[in-house]
Amino acid sequence: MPVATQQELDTLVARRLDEGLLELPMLPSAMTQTLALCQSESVDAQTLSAAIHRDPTLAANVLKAANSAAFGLSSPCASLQQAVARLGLARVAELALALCVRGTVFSDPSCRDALAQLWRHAALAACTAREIARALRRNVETAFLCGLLHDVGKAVLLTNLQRDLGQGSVELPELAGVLHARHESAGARLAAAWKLPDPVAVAVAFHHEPERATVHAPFAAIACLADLLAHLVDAEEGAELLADAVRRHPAVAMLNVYPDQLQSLFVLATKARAAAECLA
Amino acid sequence: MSVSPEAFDVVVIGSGPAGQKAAVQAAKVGKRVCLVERDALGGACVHHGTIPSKTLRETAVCLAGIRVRAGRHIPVEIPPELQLQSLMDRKVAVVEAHVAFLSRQMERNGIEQRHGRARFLTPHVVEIESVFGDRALVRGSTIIIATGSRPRAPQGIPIDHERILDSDSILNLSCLPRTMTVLGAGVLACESATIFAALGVRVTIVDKAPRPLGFLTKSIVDRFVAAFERNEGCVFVGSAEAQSVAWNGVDAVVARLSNGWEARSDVLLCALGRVANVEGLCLEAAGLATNARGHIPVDADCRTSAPHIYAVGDVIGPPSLASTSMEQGRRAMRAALGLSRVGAADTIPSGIYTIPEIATVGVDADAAAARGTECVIGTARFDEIARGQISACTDGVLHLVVDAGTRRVLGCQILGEGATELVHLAQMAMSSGALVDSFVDGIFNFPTMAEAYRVAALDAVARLQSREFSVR
Repeated sequence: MPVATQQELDTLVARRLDEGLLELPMLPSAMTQTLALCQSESVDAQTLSAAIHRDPTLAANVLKAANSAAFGLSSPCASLQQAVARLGLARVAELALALCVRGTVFSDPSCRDALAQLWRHAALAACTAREIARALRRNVETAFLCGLLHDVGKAVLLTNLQRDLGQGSVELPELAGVLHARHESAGARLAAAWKLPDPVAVAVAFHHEPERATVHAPFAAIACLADLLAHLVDAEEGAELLADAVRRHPAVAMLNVYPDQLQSLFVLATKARAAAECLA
Repeated sequence: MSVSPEAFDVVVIGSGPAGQKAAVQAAKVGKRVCLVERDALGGACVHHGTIPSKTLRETAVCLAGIRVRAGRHIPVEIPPELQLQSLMDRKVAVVEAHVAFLSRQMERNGIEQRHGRARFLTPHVVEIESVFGDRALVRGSTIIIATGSRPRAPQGIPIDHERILDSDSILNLSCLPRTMTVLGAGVLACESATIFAALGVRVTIVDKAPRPLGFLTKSIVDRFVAAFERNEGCVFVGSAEAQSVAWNGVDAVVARLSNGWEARSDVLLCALGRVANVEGLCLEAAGLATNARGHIPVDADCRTSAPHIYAVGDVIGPPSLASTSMEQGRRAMRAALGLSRVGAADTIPSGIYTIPEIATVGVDADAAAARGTECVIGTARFDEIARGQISACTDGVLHLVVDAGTRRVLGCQILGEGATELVHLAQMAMSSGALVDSFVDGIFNFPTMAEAYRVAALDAVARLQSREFSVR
């Protein structure tokens, strides 16, 4: 199959979006349970561990991540309950959620490399969003989810396009235009299908233009700023241009982040890399 | 080439209650006013503190009210996974409506609003840095500092805004915790503690003072503590301080107390006072300095040591109430413009939005005695008032302080739902110089909580009579 033009790609995506043909991954039951547990204070190590164990692959991956160097544990954990005891309920729940999303949305083997690249960015944006929220005294757990899922629409579109075009027919750079243009809509569809918490759904749908969000706009702005800072941390070229765009972005005004505070947030984003690596 | 600053009659730094009133007062007499705000219009009061917490409080009071009045028939259980934000559904609408109102008020009065951080370059010139880093200069013949305050972060308490929170971030919790430790027993600490207690959270208040809200009449505080401890699992621990606070890494925040106890809870609220927002203002460029407590010293008209600079609201220290701050803003501006003084500082009421509410105006018995004034106290208990019984608001009391010689009302202290509204009757009586007898002779609606005034006045009159008999 010849390589599709940008116009053709856009037509393909538009058709899927407009005609309700976008294939959305099912919300895994382990994630439903973990999300519910994250929002409940009555959770204990045993309940959380049982929820994660509903998906044995997920349980193995959580344990593997907990034992990664990024957490700096002196000796490895042998069980999830032990991981909870050493990392805390919130971190383990966060790990489980992140790995659940990775396994469900970012794991199609036909476009593994492109998805892995998107996932690395999602993980860094999640950890950055958490630190932005902490600095601005917003809810850190919600901010983490906003950062993690902000570009989930890109992964959904990529997987769908791959099915339309066949394996290996296009690379991520070629798709960048169409993914950028349509991923907020695709992400919004997934957020609705998965019944994600309202602030997260808003962040997914409006993270490029947070000023358009009528409710939960601060979380859209946090996802936006986390997205920009994560790109800036990873920028190999054009960092100056990007930094300038971040400084003048409406999200910065919405969150009232002054230049010196923005610099501090950039430092936090750089430090968040280590935490993001254990998710990647 | 240096840019000459834009000239204004008045530059107000900060748009909270104090700054707004100062700006409007100046604009009303035709002055050109510039209002600088670094955050969103309305300041912390609207966006982080007063209005969001009162919105949550309203829900807590409603739920508690339904439980007391019809709980046997209509179960009111809060599901454990319920999002805290769901209990504050109206917050966004309330804040938006308030900001829209403020914005219209500023526009109507021709007040120029600038979004940015202010710092003094000279005693009359202020630089405004926008959020994008652009800079502009303004010059004010009069300058009002109304930059407010923020929660204090004491050393040794690792506030992470996740498990260990301050009075702003506590309102951003995802869901209701099962247990909460509150460090501090001032107004904000007690307000938050009682709101969460009413929502079913088991709250422990820890403070170094033997009782909370130490500036209030003891009998009112004793009743407040009793009401708080009637909530399941809620306790006040006085004469103790937290020596260390740490998240145990798994499931609890652990506070080790100076009395040897250990307070373990899902979350901890650190409410050990607030600090004035003066960093970055470059006060030294204006020739100003803060006092030992970090506040800007002012005189009775809120004038600083620089004759054309005034400071109002939280930045000058207690009482840090929105009502007082508004009055300070207006008073300072009138003094700056050479207008007559209005109102009397001793009739500004204090409202504390705990559950139950507390409100005071004027003096209590101890303060009257300290002034050498002989007084009698008339008391009404809410369980003696028909409306109190009907509304199941029996947990309250009203003290009316009456001058034994002149029979004038000198003060009033109220604990109970509606206290912050009720107190205005005593305030009006004080400002008009009314005698206690006016509450006996006046006819109030029945059944109302205002009847408590009549009951308290009758009690005071009886005490005055028994004094007269004993004197004879």
